[in-house]
Amino acid sequence: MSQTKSTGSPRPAQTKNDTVQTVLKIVGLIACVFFFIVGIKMLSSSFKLFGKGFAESILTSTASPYVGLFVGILSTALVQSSSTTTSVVVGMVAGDVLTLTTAIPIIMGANIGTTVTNSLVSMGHMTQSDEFKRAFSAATVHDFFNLLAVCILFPLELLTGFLAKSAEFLTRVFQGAGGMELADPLSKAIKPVVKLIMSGLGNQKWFCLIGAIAITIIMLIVIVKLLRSLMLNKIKMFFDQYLFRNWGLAMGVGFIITVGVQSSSITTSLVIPLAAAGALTLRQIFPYTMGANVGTTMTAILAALATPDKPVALTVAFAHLLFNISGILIVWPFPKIREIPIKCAEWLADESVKRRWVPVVFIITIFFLIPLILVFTTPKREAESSEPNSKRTDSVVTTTGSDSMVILMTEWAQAFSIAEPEIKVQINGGGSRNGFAAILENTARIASASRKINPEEQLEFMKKFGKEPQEHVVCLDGLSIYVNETNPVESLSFLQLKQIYTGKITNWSQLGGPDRPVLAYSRENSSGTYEYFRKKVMEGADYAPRTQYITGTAGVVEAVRNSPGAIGFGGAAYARTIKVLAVKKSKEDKPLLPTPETVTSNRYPLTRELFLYVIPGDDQNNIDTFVEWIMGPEGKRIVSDVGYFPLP
Amino acid sequence: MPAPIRHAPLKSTSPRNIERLLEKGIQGIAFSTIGIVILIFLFVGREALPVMIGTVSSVEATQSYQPEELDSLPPEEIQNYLGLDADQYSRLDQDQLRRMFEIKASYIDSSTDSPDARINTAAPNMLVAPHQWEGLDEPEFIWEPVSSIRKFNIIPLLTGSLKVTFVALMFAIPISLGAALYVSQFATSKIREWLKPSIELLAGIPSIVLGFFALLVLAPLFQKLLGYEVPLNAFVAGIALGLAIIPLIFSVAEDALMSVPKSYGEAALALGASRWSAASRINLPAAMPGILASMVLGFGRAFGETMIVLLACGNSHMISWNLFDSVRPIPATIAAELAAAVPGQAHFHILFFLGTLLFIITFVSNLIGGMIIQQLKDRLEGQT
Repeated sequence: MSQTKSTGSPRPAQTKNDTVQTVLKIVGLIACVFFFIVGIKMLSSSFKLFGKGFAESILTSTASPYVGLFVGILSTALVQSSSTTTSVVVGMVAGDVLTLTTAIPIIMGANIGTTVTNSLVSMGHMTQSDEFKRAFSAATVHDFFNLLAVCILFPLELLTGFLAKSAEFLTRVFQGAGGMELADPLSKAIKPVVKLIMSGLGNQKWFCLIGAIAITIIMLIVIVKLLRSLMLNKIKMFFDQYLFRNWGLAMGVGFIITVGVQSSSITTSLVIPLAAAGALTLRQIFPYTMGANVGTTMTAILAALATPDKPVALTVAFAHLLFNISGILIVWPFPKIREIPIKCAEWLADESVKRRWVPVVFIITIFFLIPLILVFTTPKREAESSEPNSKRTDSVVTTTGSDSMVILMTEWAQAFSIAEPEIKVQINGGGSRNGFAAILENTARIASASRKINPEEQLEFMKKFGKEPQEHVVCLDGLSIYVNETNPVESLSFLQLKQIYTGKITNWSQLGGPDRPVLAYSRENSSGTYEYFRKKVMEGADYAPRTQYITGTAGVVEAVRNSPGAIGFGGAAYARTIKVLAVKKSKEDKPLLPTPETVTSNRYPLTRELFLYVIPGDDQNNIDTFVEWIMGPEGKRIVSDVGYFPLP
Repeated sequence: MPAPIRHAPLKSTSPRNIERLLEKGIQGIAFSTIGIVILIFLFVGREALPVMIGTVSSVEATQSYQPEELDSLPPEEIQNYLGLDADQYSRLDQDQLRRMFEIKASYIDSSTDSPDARINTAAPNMLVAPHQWEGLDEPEFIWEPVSSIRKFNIIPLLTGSLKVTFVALMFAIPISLGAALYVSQFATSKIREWLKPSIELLAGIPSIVLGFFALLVLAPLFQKLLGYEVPLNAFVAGIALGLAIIPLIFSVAEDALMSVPKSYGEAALALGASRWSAASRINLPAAMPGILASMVLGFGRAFGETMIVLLACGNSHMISWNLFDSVRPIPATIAAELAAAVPGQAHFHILFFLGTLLFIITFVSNLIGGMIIQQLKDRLEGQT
C-alpha cells in the first residue's frame, strides 16, 4: 500500500508512525490472544456448569467398551476438557469401578470429544465464507484425524489389548522414576480472569456460556483483523520459515505449546484465527494438532509420576500417550492415509460453505447425537452408585426466616466467617414462614424460626422430602411489649393485651393511662412472632382489622417510638431503645420484665425458644459445623451481646 | 447508495449478512416481548384460575384417621386425606405415611371445633360477600389469611386500593391539569422549555424513595397539621401516590392540549376573547378526551403502584369511610404476603387471583386511555 511519492521529509515521520502503530497492534494482538484463551477457558468452564454432574453420571454407567468410546466422546464434549474425563476415569479405575480395558475406550472417546472446542470456535467465522472455509477445515482436520485413529486402533485394541498391555509394562518400568507438577504460568494468569468474569455473571450457566461465546468470537474477529493489517505476508513467511517449516517442527510446536498451556483445545483453537487469516495452511496445521494430541497426555503422566501410590493413574495416562503415538505412527508414514483427514476436512469445509447447516449438523451429530443415542439405548450397568466424586464444593449455606433472628444470625455469620473462613453463611429475613417456604422451594438450607414448626408445614416437608426437618433450639427470647416513652402504663396482663389486639380496648384510659386512643401494631402475618403472639396471648383469636401490620421488628419499634398511643411487640434484642412493659399471665401474678434471670428461669410469661430447622442434605457437614459453633461459647456470647438469652 | 451495491465486491456481502442477522435478531426481540407478556399472564392466570372457578378449598378433613387404619384405606382416600398427588404418594413408604397420619391427626385434633371450620373460606362468594363469623354480631368483610380460620375476603383490600387511588387522583388531577393548562396555553416558550422537563423529572423518582418520603416526612407533617391519630393512613399514601402520577397526567394532558390546532385559540382571540376564556372555553373542551385519558392512565398507574403504598398506608385491613384510617391496598398485600404463602394452598392462589385482578384493572384502564388518545388524535388530525 505504500505510495512512492518522494516528497522527502514526511516519509521518516510516517514510518515512525507506522512503527508505533505496529507496536500498538502487536500489543493489542497479544491482549486479544490472551482474552481469546480466556474465552475458550470460560467456554469450557461454563460447559462444566451445565454438564459436569451429567457427564459424571454417564461415565459411571458404562458397561461395555463399545459404549465406553461414546461415553468418552459425550462426557468430554459436555465438559469441553479431556483432562476432566481422564481424571475422573483414573479415579474410577483406582476405585475398582472400571477396569483398564473399559477405561481405554473412554480415553479414546475423550480424544475425539476434545476436538469439539476448536470446531465450535471456528464457527465464529461463519459469516465470512472464505475465512470460514479455511478455519473450519483447520478445525475439523483434528476431528478427522482422531476419528481415523480410533477407527483403526479401537478394533485393534479390542482384539489384542496391546495398549493396555504396553501401558502396564511402561508403568512397571517408569514407576518411581519421580515426576513433577508442571508449572503453568499461563493458566495462573488466565484462571483469575475467568473466575472474575464468571462471578461477575453470577455463575449463571446461560450467562456464562453466552459471555464466553461472545468473548471468543469477538476476539477471533479482532485477531484476524489485526493479523491482516500487520502485513500478513511477513507473518506467513515467519511461520513458513521457522515454526512450521516441516511437519516435525510443526508437531514439536504443537507439543510444546500444549504442554505449556496444559490443554489441547486451547492449542488447537489458537491456530484457528491464523488459519482463517491465511497465515497457516491446512497441511501445516495437521501435524501441529497431532503434536497437541501428544502434548495433552504429558500433564497426566508427569502428575501420575509424582504420586507413586497411584500406579493406575500412570497406566491410564500411558495408555493415552501410547494411543496418540500409535495414531501418528499409523497415519503419518503413509501418504495415502495421511491425505484422508485432510481431504475429509476440505470436503466438509466446502460443503459447509455451500450449506450453512452442514457444520452445525456435523458437530451435533458426531459429538452429541450419536453418543447420546448409543449411551442411552444400551442397557446400563446396575447402579451401585457409591458416587465417590460427588463431593459438594459449594460451601455457601443460605438461611432464611425469622426477622426477629436476623439481628442475631447476622452477628453469628460474621463471627463464624472468621472462625471458619471456608464456610460462608448467607442470611435472609422476611419472617419464619418465609424460612420454611424457602427450604421447600430449595432457596435456603436453614430456616430460622421464632416459633415451632406447625403440623401443616411438617406435612409439606414430609410431602417434599419424605422426612421432617431437624429442629435445633438455639437460644431463648422474652417477647417484649413496647410502648411509647410518654406512656405512663407500666404493666399489662395477658387478658388486657388480648383485648387491645382484638379491638375490645381502644383507649389507654381503659388501662389506667391517659385519654388517648390505642394504636396497635403487629408484625406481618409471615412472622413467627405474629403467630406466637396470636396463639399464646390472644388464645387463637384474630387480630382486629384496625391493627397495623409492619414489616420487621425494627419497623415496629420505630412506629411505637413515634406515636404516643402506640403499642407493639417483638424480640428482646430490639427492646434496648424503647420502653418495655412488664407482663403478667393473670391478674394475680406479679408483673415481670424480660431479664436474663426471669427468662432463663422461664418465669417471664412470654419466654419463647428460637429455632433453626434443617433438612439433612449434601452439605450437612457445613451446617453441623455452623450449628455446633452456635451452641459453643462464642455463639452464646454473641447471643447475650445481641440481647437474647443463651440456653441455660 | 443503491446503485453500487450490485457491483460491490464479494467481500462486502458478508457485512450485509450480519446486518440481516441483526435485523432478524432485533425483530425476534421485539416480538418476544409480546410473548413474554402473554407468558406472564398465562402463568399468573394459571395460579389464579382455581380461585375463579371455585376449586380451591380451605376446608381440611375434620375427622382424623388413626395410623393403624393406614392399611385398610384405599390409596385414593389416603392421597385425598393428606393432600398428596399420585407422584408424591408413590415416593412415600409406609413409615413415612404413618408419620404423616400422626401429624395430620394431631393437627386435626388441635384445630378449632368452631362451625366456621367447615366453611370453604376460599369459595368465590366468600371472597366478596360479608360473612357472620362465630362471635360476630353482624356479617363482616374480613381478610385474615393467617388464622385458625383463614378468611380471604378481598373487599377490604379492594376498598383500600380504591381509597388510596381516590386520594391520589384528587390530589394529582388539579395540580397536573393546572400545570398542563399553564404550560400549554400561557407560558412563554422559554418558561415551557424548562418547566415541562422539570415536572416530568418527577417521574424519575423511584417509587421506593417517594415511599420513604411519605413515611418520614409527609406522615409526621400531616399528623401535626391535621391532628389525626393514625400516622400512616390512606391519605398520606394517596398524597405520595399523587406525586408519582402527576408527571404522567401532566404530560398526557399537556400533549392533548398542545395538539389542539392553534387556529382554534387564535380565532377566539380574534373575536375578542380573553386568553383565559380562549384557553378554558375553547382549548380545554377540545382537548377533553385527552385529559380524560390522562386521568384514566393515572388511575391505572396509581392502582398498581406497590412500594409507596406498602410503606405509607399503615397496612391494616379495615373498611371505613374515613380517609385517615390505615388501609392495605392489593399490591401491598401481595408484596407482603406472597413470599410466605405456601404454593398450592388457598392463600397462594388467592394472592395470584389478586394479581390477576390488578393486571386486568390496569390493563383495561391503559387500554381505554390509549383508545381515547388515539381517537382524539384522529379527530384533530382529520380536521386540520
